[in-house]
Amino acid sequence: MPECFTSQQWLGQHSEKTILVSDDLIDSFATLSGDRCPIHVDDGFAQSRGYRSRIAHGALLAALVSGIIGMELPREHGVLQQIQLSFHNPCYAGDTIRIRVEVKELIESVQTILMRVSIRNQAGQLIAKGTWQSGLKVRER
Amino acid sequence: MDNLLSRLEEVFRLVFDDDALVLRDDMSAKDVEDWDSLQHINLVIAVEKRFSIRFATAEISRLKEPGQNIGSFRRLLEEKLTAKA
Repeated sequence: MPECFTSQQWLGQHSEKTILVSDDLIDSFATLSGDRCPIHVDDGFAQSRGYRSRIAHGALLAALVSGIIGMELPREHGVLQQIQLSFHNPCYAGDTIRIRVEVKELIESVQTILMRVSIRNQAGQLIAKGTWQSGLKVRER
Repeated sequence: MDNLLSRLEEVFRLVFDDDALVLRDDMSAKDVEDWDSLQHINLVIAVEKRFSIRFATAEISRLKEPGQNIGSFRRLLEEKLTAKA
């Protein structure tokens, strides 16, 4: 990604990343967030609720999106304003997810970009999707 | 109530999640609960989408100057809609 974009150059920019959602990652997030709900940390409990095994926190998935937003697109050029995510299927410990972020709209008047976010598992199944809204903090050329 | 002000009020009610919100020309940001910088951005985005128009950055910046109010916003909207027609 170039160091400096004009506003129009944001449209269509995208980034993708594949991440293994390991047991360690879920455990670390449970510790960090304090959310040790058994659905996230106890396979037996999750199975009693109809899941194959314990499932990742929705907020963990959002945090992984944040990693892409902050390090790849729009990186230091943006500041988070708003997140909207819906969760369609569980993400299990051991799943490898593919996160895609794409700039779908630029609102020049308020220097804001709307990014479409999707998270799919190794089978291509939709885990979550939504919109990430960032204000642009970029100097125009 | 002026038809445009009424349509603008619908957008305000959605953005500020307040079905009882009633707009008047002399109101400003301090008269609307939670009208902060983020809500200002969301309001502009919602108005642009609702009326299928685009504001210029300078037009939006001017709305933040002292003395600007809902009436200023409504008049700007009127100008944009007239120019579009």
